[in-house]
Amino acid sequence: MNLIKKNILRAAAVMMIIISASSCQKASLNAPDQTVNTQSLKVSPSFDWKTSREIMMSITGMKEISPDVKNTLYIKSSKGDLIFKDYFQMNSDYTFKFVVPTTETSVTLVYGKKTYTAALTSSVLSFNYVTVQ
Amino acid sequence: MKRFTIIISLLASAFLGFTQTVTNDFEQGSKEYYTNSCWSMEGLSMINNSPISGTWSIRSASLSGSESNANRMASPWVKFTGSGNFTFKHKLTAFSGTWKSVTVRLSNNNDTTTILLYAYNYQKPGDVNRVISVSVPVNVSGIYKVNWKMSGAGGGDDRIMLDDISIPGTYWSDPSEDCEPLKTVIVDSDKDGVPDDQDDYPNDPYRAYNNYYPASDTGTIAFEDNWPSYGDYDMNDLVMGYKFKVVSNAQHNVVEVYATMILRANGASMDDGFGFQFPNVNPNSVISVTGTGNHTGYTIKSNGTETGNASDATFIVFDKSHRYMSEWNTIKTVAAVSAVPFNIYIKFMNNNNPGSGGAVNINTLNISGWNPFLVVNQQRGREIHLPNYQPTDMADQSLFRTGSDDTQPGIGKYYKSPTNLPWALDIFGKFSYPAERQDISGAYLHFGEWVQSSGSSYPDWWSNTGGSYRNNSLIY
Repeated sequence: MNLIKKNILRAAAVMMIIISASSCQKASLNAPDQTVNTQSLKVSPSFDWKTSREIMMSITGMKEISPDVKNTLYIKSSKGDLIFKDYFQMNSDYTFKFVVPTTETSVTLVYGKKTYTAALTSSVLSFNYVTVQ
Repeated sequence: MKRFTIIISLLASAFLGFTQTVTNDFEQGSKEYYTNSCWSMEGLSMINNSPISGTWSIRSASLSGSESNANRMASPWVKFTGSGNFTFKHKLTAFSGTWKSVTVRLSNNNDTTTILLYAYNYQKPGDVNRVISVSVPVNVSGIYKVNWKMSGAGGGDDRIMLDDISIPGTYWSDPSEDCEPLKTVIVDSDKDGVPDDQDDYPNDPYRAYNNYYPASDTGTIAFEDNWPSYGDYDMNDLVMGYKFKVVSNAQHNVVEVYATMILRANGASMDDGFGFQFPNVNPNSVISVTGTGNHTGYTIKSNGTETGNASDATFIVFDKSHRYMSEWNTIKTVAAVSAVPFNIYIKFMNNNNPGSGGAVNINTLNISGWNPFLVVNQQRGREIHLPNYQPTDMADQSLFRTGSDDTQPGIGKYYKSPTNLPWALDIFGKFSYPAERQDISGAYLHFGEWVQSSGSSYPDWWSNTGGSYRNNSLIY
């Protein structure tokens, strides 16, 4: 084989090595470790494995309001899905739980014509018809 | 023709004996609070510096200009019944300029009627910082607001403070409806106390609301059935979709539950059963259960709950998954068969009469706390629950801490391995489960990160976000 052909082949081989090395590096940067199996995972004893979470809702009634003020309280997700509803007197206290996906960041409360939005920064929401937090 | 029953809701308040005065001492210290309870406080401020009494009073802005620029306050709507004394206190903080005054009037809903209750022109200098207590008899009937107007000329630091208001009447605003007067006519066809426009069952006195869990879509329970030994973590030995509809009445009690359980896959050679509990719900509160599958090998009471579970209502959905599904629905090369729904109806009340165990409040039901379980290969005592969910009374607890199980009831650890791995997962949506023998960690590319971050990374690991969450070739 003449020298030119040999050099061409050599250069092509080098190019292929360079390209394949780059591909391997790109793959290793982007692809997850395919050798991980579930039995090898390091799991904290406190991890609950849940994809949802409970929110404890505490409502403090406005005591000076007439007991005849009653309305349905609607709790909706950030996407507008209805999570919970029930009929409450505005002058009474209530406690109940509702559940949202762990990815949920806020809910909207609707009571009559009043609307409130609350960020879900903890597992407890306190609502007094003035603020919700 | 449909008959409507119209009730006068205020008969109830008369019998309830609600306090017949409307008061405000401003001690909440928050203008927003009082505005939300329908007090109107244009130009006024809450102050705790030298209040008339207590910690807080309300105070006008600086008084200047003509009456049209006066500081105003209005009460909520009040229903007057013809007698009683209207009382309050006021004080002028300084007097520069020529005149300062406070007037109080009643006005009706369209301002066609105004009644002067009280007027006072302050005297200089004797009235400065003098608390003036007012008591005025009110002999009107009807629905009015009480309106204060504080006026003056000269400005400076001249302000009027108000406190300790007492109005002889019944609070008559609805803060949830833009502070309009309370409705005296409510359309409530079934007389259950829930207005028709809010009642999911406007013509049924025994039902009021539907609540769904999950709120949207169905959830998924995915099991490994080789407990107490490890399996292959393809999480498809039994895959159940679920959706609940909880029907409650106006007293917040559960009338009935529609539990839709969907057998989607049984990728296992063992022939497993499935059931669920409502923890802390008295089994005798259940009146009847219909819609479940076969119960061979189980003892079911006449009301449809499983015997042997003293304090938690327990329901067996089916005894053998392979009875209902001829294929596993996990092997990609084998054509799938349709998922099998079980539309279970659980009755808790019959025309407002509860089961012998008593009514179940919607909080007690706590539908999101339902406790699903797999029964391994018809061995009733060998059941598998979600991590840290308790066994039923029928579980064989001698199996705890055998094989790879590390259940320790004393510390609340159930159905987890020594390395805290589970045998079941609850996914809050419709889950595309791994194909046969494909480890979930390989099928879902961020599952491992979710687990090892204790849920803080990739909480949406099971979604189909972008192109990097799944290895679709490993998913059925």
